[in-house]
Amino acid sequence: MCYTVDMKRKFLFTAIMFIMMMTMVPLAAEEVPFRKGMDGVFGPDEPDTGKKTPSYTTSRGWNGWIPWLSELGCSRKSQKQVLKALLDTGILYTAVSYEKDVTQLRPSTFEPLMVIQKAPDVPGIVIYGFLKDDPHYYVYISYKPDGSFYQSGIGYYDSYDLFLDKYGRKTMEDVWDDQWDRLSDDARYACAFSSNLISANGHSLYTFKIYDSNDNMISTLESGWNCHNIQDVLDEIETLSTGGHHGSYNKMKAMLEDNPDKSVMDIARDYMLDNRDIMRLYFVQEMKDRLGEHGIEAWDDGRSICLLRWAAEAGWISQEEAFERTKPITARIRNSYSSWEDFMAHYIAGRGFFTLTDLNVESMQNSAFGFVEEFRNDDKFSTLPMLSEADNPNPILKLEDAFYTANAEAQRWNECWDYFNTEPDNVRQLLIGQLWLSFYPDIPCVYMFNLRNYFALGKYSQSLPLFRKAAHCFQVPDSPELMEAGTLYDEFWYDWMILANNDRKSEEAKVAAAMVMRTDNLDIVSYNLGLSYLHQIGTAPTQEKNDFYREKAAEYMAQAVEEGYDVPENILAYLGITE
Amino acid sequence: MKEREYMKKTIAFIIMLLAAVSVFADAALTADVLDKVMSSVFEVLVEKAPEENLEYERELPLSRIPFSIRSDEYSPIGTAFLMEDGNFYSAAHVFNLNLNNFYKKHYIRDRNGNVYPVKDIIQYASDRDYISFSVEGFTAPEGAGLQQADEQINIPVFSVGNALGDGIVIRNGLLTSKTKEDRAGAWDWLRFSAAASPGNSGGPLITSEGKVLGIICMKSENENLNYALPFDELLLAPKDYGYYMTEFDYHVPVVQGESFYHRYEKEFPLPQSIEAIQTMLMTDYTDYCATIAKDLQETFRPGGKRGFDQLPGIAEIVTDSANHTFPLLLFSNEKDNWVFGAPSNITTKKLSDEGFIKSGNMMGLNFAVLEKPETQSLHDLYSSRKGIMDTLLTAISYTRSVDTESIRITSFGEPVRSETYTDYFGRAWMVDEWDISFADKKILSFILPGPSGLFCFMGLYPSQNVNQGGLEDLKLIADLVVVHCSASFEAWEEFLALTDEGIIGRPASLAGMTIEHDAESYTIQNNEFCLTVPSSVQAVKDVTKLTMYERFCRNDDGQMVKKARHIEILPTTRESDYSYIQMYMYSAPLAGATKTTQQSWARITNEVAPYDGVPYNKDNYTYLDEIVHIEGHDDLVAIMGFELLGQGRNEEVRAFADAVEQGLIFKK
Repeated sequence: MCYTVDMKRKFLFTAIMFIMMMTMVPLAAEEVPFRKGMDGVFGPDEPDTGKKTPSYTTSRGWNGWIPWLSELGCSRKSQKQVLKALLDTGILYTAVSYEKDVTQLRPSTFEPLMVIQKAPDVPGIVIYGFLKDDPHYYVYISYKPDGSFYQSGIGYYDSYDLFLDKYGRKTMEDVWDDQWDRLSDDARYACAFSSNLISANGHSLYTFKIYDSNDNMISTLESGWNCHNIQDVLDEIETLSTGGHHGSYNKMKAMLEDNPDKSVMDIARDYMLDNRDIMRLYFVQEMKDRLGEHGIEAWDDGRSICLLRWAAEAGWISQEEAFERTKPITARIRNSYSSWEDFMAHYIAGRGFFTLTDLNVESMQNSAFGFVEEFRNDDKFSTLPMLSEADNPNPILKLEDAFYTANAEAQRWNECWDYFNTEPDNVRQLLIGQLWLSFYPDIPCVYMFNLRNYFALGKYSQSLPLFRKAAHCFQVPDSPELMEAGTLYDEFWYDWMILANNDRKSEEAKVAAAMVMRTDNLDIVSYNLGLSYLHQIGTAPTQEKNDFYREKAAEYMAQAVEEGYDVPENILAYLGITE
Repeated sequence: MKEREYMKKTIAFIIMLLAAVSVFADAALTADVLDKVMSSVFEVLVEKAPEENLEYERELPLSRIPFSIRSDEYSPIGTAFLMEDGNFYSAAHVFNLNLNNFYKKHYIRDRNGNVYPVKDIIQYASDRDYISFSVEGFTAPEGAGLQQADEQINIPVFSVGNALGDGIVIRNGLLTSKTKEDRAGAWDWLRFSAAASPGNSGGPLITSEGKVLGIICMKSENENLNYALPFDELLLAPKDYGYYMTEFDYHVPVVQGESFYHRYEKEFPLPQSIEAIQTMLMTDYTDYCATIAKDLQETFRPGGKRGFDQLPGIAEIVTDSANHTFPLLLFSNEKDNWVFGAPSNITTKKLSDEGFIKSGNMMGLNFAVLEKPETQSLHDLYSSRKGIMDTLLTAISYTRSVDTESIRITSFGEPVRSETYTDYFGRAWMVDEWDISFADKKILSFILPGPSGLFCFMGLYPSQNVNQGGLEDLKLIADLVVVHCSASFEAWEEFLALTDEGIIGRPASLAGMTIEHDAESYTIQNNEFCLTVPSSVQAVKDVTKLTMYERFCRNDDGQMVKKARHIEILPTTRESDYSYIQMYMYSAPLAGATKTTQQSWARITNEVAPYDGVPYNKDNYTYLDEIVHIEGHDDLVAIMGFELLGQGRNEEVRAFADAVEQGLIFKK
């Protein structure tokens, strides 16, 4: 691929898209994404803000998004359409370099994506377009708030200075080959095993450094992983190593192995499993023989390497240290799978496991598969030496076998979840939801689905009969293991305690409070017990009994205060605990 | 030009017509919808209660009551409607299933006047105020049965119901908003501006398509802003059990400064027959309320945890020696102090032969003292409860309103229930219950027989309240009434004889009391004392009256009792041989007495004037007061008082006193 545009030229836009632009005003203030290094500026120099474009990608075109466009209500998809529409007006973009040579480019020569932003030093808006053949080139045009033209120009993305200096104008393939050649063996493994997620995020595939903005990576780590510093990242990697999704997978696998005679629904009932675990059980039941000993460890390992590379780009750790920390992970992977493809097949399976509750397993697995398929014949990754097949006790997983297809039973469960995955708009939908109880009469989480629907409609009081009906499914399990597995038990009794009190069903609330086993909110339980007795004052016909209720209410409220609960002052005063 | 003008007017008329039609379209139901609604909405009825027992001062002007009401053998109490599921729906409060009143049988009536009894309750919740039920023998006409509407705000709506009991009527307005119910915000009421009157309760709130949005439940007091329960609430309602809940503050008449919050709740399985639910709820709720009242009675009666004898001030109450002309009621006032009270508006109604009725009201009750005509025997008086009440009704007014007239009730007929209540101090009250069925009310009367007539108090109660606390409240009043009895010696003798025969009960304070008199002397004795006075000292004549006052004191167990320790004997006329004797066995103040009370006791025991036995003159009388110490009692003395008509009869009064005291013996 050759360059078609001289990087030293400047361009002048002649296209007028003022009206379309103005329909998008007001725009949120946004930092300018480009910094010095731009050349061919026509008009005042762009200031150096020290910021880079947040989402620009080099390897596979534009995968980014523009936050302030989203704030205007543009989805990622509509954002693309809006920008495409701007470029599809058919108007020529006339670009003029500061050296006076002039050329004209048709819109089709630009990537059909543009950045439209409010520049800090321009009291209007700026439109950017990126050249298809070499996307680190851009053109821009800016308009004043009154719609009049302000300035335009051409530039390049400065992170490619090195690239430009060293390699001049090569095709991207040339660049990638060169990058790969420069990598050490260990770095190649790190790049290969993390390639799927790195690609999905539009980062550099063939360099250990991923080339993204510091802020962008911090934002990704914070919002996507709840990591706010390197320790958080290392802790997360530890979690992925010792548990992660493969830990859940193994837990489900153990459940199935411990209960060979039970169906998934039998286990769901006995262990009070929530929807996610039920879906996972079906998944594991279907996939465990294909996935072998390592299950979906590949999914967690691949992500761990990614996290380290991102942390380095975020500036929380050096590239060198990040690289060193990937070595034990890559070594483990190399000794567990017989090829990059074998690893990726397990990774894709893990991707499916991860996304089960979204009910879009196929598309997510396909998305991951799409990348692998594109590179499966690329000798960079696929030829990396791994554990020999002879030494591998596990089955080699083909990419095509990595896909999970729900069986009929799991499919019906998916339909059930699909129904409850959307909050109801009205009471009739809520009642239809209860029909699922006829399919799953003893499954705790189906009751919880229905109860959550009641809560979604604000029908708290009306949910109490359903709590009563469901109580038989939420009895204390026989063994601690079952209790540990159950995620719904405490949620059920805790919610019942609160709602029964809200509806002044004191005896119900007391029973529910006695069943709550979690110990992280004893103050709330004490408060609710106090509230139960408080509500009972006056319910007995005799003063003696009502006095007893008052004493018990005071006792539990005092206990709640001691445990740190902020009991309303009027209650404390009423019970004589305070003046 | 004229044509153009005509065209303009025509166009303007058409525009106005279209506008009017548009408005009308919003404010009216189509004929089909109207027919469907009218065939699906019913009156809820109860049978009128019989009322033959009552007598009035004159014939009731019933012709002034609208024909449709006076000729109807049923009383309309609300509205119900039929849904397409075949069930009838209404508001729970239309069917007061917990109330033990006169209206126990419920019916519905269609637009053709056909009446069907309500059969089974299918859904019921008093908090949300809904009920659904089936009826006996009903076949839905074709097309009857309403559908549920989708909830929308700010749309035209119609209230359908038996407004003011005058048949089904439809009125329009807007569904304006929703509002959370008060207690816990557990559901939203629909707020609408279509008119709603008493009787609309239980009717449907419908859209212009005739679909049901909700059940009309409440109306605002003064403004045309009314409330309906969204029909969605019934979709979510439990099908297998009903729920009754009511919250109330219980007021005890004799406890003025406090009310007692209570919440009664009951869940019961459904469906069940309405009779079964009524029986169960009435029994349970009656027990609950009666228990509250009994518990409060136990708490506030003497000896109770909060009885007057347990609190500061008891010493003053016990030693209070005020002689009162009307029975007193001991009650806890708004400052939680126990005090004596009596009606402030006492009036006297004269009866024949020196008889009279003194009456007044207090705490919403009527209190009366009946002094029988001299020519009427006590036996005759007590032989008929109806007779007693008819006599009392000559002084105590209960009326019935018919249109603009108030007609006085002259007789309640015979009591529907009678019992005897022996109060805390051992006095036997005649308790009677009387029906006032036209008002769904009852009268409860408590009569305490006395030697010259009776003391009575009575209250008018909603019929269900009689057994749901009313009776117990009045029993507590009976416990706390302080009376004195004054009568001629003959009347006393007849009274005591009647108690011996068991015709009336004898108060515990009069245990062992006998009265004997002849030409030589008279003797009065009870368990406390024996007083014999020769005729030469004081002769008993027709006009001589013996008055016995009950005085509080503690017995050996510390229990508060009343004893007849205070008597007066005197003629009611002031002739030359007028003489007066008082003997008051006065107890030492109890612990906690005020200084004034203690000083008073000290004055008495130290025989400080006027208790020094020295005659003194005042007005037109010669007086002598002195203290007789009772052997073996440091804490009890007898205050003796004597009077003779005319001043300067010091020696005579001294001799009179000595003669009386000579015949006075205190029992151990």
